[in-house]
Amino acid sequence: MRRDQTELPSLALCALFAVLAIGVTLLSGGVYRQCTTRAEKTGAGRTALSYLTNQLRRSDRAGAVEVTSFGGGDALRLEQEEGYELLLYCYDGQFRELYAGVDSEAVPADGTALFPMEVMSVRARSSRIFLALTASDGGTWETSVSLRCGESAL
Amino acid sequence: MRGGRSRLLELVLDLCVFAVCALICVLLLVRAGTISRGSERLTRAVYLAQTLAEDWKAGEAAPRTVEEEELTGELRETEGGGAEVTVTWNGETVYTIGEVRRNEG
Repeated sequence: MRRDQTELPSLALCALFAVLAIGVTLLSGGVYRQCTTRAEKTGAGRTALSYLTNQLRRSDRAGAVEVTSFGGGDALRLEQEEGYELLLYCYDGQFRELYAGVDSEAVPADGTALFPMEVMSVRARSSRIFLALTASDGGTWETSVSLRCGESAL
Repeated sequence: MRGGRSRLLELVLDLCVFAVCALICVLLLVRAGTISRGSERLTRAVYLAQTLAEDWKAGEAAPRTVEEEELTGELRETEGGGAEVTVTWNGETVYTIGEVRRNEG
């Protein structure tokens, strides 16, 4: 039986079609993964810094902010209503908040985990608080907050 | 024979249509990647600008320029007693805070 002369080119074209389809699919998958990873990283950093900044702002009054250590790293202790405080810190790969009585014997694991974050670094200088957050992938997010009530907040 | 040729021609045309669609897809993907990178850059620029503004509000001297990764943040005082912050990337303005005022009292 005589083979059709166009059979081979047809097969070659089909193969080329398949290769192109696979290439586009792989490329799409790669770009989609990159975009979602980047969006997640950016979202986590933005959420964390916004949360910290807003907590500092609402506690911006005389003697209400203290930079301390808790859970093996830096922590922010924010005075709440009488007899209560809010601790913000990183522990066990999570950024946590712990709302507790001033004299409570709470441990770092008691805090509510809010989002994944490895390290929180806090420094206070004059009326400024420097915040640096390090995610599990090593990415860092930094900002600085100038307390409106000045050094008296610290 | 004629049927074979017409089938081949149809395949070539199909491939051309597919190539055009694939090209459009690739361009969209490249655009998506660019927007995604731009979004991350903008977020970092916002925090860099905010940091510069907060530092100035707390008494840091001006003008001041800070480099962070690929971004350059610049704060300069304006005639009205305030300050303006501009963050650029490769000479292109990414984010600007038009008017910053010092904390009162």
